[in-house]
Amino acid sequence: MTRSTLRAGVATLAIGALALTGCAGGGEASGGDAATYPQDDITLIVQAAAGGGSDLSARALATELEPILGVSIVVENRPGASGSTAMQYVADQDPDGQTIGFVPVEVAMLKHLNFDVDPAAYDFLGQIMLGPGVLSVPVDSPYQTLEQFVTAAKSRPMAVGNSGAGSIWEAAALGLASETGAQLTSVPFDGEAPAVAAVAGGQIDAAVGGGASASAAYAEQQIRPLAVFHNERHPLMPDVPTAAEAGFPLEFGGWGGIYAPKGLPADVRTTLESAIQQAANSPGFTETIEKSGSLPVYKSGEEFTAFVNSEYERFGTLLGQG
Amino acid sequence: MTAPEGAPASDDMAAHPSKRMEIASAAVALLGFALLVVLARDIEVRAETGGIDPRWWPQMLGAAGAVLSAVLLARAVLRAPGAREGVLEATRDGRVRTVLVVALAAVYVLVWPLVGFAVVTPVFLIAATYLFGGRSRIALLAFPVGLTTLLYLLFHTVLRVPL
Amino acid sequence: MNALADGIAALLDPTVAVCFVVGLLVGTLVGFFPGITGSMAVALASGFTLTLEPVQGLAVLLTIYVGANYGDRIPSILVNTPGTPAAIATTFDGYPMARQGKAGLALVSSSIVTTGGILLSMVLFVVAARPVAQLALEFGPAEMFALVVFGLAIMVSVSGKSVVKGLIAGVAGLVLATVGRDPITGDARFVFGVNDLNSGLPFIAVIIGLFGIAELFDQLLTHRPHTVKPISSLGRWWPTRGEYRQMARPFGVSSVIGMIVGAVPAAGGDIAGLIGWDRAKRMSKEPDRFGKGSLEGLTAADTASSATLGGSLTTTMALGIPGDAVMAVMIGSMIIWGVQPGPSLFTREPELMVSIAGIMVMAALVSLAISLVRTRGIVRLLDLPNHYLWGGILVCCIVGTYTTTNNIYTVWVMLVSGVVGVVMKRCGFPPGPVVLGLLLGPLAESNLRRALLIDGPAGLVTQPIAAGLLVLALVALAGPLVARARAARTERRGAMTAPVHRRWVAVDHPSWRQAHASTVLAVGGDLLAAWFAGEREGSPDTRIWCARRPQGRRAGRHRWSSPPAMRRTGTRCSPPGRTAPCGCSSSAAR
Repeated sequence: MTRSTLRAGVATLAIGALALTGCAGGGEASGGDAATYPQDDITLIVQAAAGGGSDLSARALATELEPILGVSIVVENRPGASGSTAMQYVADQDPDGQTIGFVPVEVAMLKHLNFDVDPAAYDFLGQIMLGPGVLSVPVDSPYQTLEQFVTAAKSRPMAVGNSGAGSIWEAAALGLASETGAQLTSVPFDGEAPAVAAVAGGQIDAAVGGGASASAAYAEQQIRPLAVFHNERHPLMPDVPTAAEAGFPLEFGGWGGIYAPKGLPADVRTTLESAIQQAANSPGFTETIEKSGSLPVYKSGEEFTAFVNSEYERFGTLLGQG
Repeated sequence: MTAPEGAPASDDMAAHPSKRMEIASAAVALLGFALLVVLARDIEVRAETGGIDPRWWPQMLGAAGAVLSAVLLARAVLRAPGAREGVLEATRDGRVRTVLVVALAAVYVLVWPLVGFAVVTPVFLIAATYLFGGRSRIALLAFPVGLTTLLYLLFHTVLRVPL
Repeated sequence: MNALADGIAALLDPTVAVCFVVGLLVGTLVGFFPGITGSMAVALASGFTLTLEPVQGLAVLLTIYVGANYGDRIPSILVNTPGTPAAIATTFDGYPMARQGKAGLALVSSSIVTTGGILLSMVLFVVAARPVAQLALEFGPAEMFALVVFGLAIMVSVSGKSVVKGLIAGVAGLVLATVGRDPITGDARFVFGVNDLNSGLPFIAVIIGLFGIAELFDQLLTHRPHTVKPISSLGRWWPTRGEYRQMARPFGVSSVIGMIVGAVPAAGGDIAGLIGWDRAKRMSKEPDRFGKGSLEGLTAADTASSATLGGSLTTTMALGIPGDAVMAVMIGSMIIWGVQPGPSLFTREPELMVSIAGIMVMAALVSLAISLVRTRGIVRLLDLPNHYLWGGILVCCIVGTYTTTNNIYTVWVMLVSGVVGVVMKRCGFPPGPVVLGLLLGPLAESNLRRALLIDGPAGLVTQPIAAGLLVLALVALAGPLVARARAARTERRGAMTAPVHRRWVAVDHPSWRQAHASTVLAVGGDLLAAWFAGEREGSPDTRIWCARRPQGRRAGRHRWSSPPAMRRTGTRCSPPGRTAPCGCSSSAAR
């Protein structure tokens, strides 16, 4: 490299750095009141690549956590192996509060799919969001309600798409089938978008997906959502009934929260839990989550731990039967 | 351009055709695909569905690969080896250098998580540059430190990659 | 018309200009590094753009998308390392061109056709987005499977000399793609208890290893300390008129392929580049030059992969379904900005569509200008001594690979792929089919099994698009095989080609810096070679040199005589006709 190109390279780099950090520069409020913890930057591990739903939720929370805790939260993406790479990584870190992570619903499922991930290895600090599942059919489908669909599926098998083998949406279809006796053939796609596209294109009879992708396609009248698997209606699809209203009280959702390696000191845990509670209920965070099509559902550390354990049991029976 | 040992003016730089290599590579491929068929049969599935299950596709590939490798092996044994297009003959120095670089890179990747990127990268670059024949102060000092700084700034500072 | 004016006016805002520049800087910088894909850069940047207005945010993300697309070509052409999957086909002819001293020409031509591809595909976006998007919606699993089979048929043409070896390499790639979790049942396959293997082999690490690192290792193996480096540039940057004419046909064919493939969700620049390269090869008058530095091949590959940009943008905006990985991130960001991509977007916010098209066109043009300006400096990188070049390539590949997952395991995969790649290369197995197999394998298997789950075997033949594509794929597969078999038969029967032996006549001489215009002549039973050599062209010490080599049954044993200088040729004093090498040869023979 000649000297001039080198200099030009360094200059562009510097400009880029300035520009990016400039964009990034949020509020870095001065230290909180916690006596000892936290003193260093906290690393927040995300199990998915940058740019996805999990990453978005984690980054939105990190932005709110920074002024509360008074330190920088560095979001680290460690994607791979259905999220188990990141989960094993978090389990292996020191329980000192310097490493926390975004925990998705898969933590309660992977063990049943022969991954080496055990919910018992973590301290769960709070749930921050929920993306309820939605069952949709093509717009020209003859089925107008969940009941009609289930009745029809008892006489002929239906191809039901989902975002992937072992995903929460496949589990939701399995749950619906075992609850109602409908014959549902799971057709896993490589992600949620292709599954929704296959419904829109009429290649499959139905698909289960998250509220975000369903509401978008619904707004465009590309698909017809039949039911939301949640205890209340989805704000972006207010005229779509819940599964309970349609006669099948089932709830499936892609929830997410914050966890840490098992064995956090009590004071650290308290500091983190209250910070998470404050951040998860802040308007900045809830707005971002709502815009993305999910729901800002908060559960405290204690409630969240109980919830994860009940989900773990439920998926055990559901996925165990294959 | 001067060759070291006097007069290799007629030395051919293109790699020589080698019957042994052709047979060996075909045999390795055949063994590999055979092993694949065996391994594919032993894939554990959670629910036996029969028909087109997770074992089907790898088994089919293994069989196809084995047939192709058998053809290649038969050709390698029966026919004279063809010219090796676009491949130059390796030198002895070259073999030593390549093995050393692979080892060096392996050590680098092993040590990186232990001591951190910013420490191990200049050391690796100094060693690599020395191995590749760089002897000047710029090559052994400015270049490793400069490149490391550049990479660190770009990835750690700008892109926020945890190096 | 109002939308047009509003959309363009929105771009004139100074903050948009700032965002545009930032995106361009990040994009061009990032594309340069192997491993950092456009999608990764866009994803990282999307974290910073959530608070911006839609037009500002799009100015950042779309220009990164475009800028990275230009940058990706550089390492492919210069050091055989595709920075992203989309640039795989670029290496096929781009790197050989660079080895032949045409790096400058390759980079400039690549930038020109990349720009052309993007601009043409943007025309499609503006004119026909909605019908194209509806067509894309027809692509279900059965159709995708057929498209992928069509892609697999390319294996034969990327095989190089030995089709059997090429096919074995291709099957090996398909096998590597089965590592990980089964796409339909989720059962682990060939994971051997290594957790990271559950998500399969990281694709980018494998291509960087097989192409870039393997080439580096091969250079290390065969490097002779005193051989001259290949000339970095013969000093020609712009294609000649004849070359432009040569480029026209592959450009036309590939831009259509790129737009179609780009519009299909889940198929992007990687597949388009390969299909475009293959199609251009089949249609070319000189198919043999493909893979050995053909300007047509480079044109085809880069046009097709860059024309996917408009295609995938079309699907994304008009359907709300991401056309590729970058667009998946883009949709997420747009939803946060309160813009919902979908069919009605074109009627709801036509001015935004105008802005998007404007950003893309501007980004393409400015990127072209930047590429042209920086080409010279970048080519000069090749003139660095090897110890800088090799060390730099190695570290950049390692760091670039690491950043794709932030996991050291990915780097190990890359190094192992590099070692495997160099062994394969030396045994005559081409890397192209491996990568093709790795790329298409999961798509082939999962879409076939999905299609079978949905409709059973009947679905593959009753769906018109799927059945049509499958027939085409069979033709595409059979065609080159038949042609090859026929060529091989002719060759064996008629011995049309004579073996070519390469021997160095005179490797070096203390007083030479340059030598050229060599001529070989059969004189009596012997061979006579003559050439000019001297300090430099036109310098007074330039002489014609000759060497003689006795011919006979055991010719292989004979050597060239050491070369005596024949005649002083200082340009000023030499009489016309005497300076020609042939004149020298004949006088020497007498």
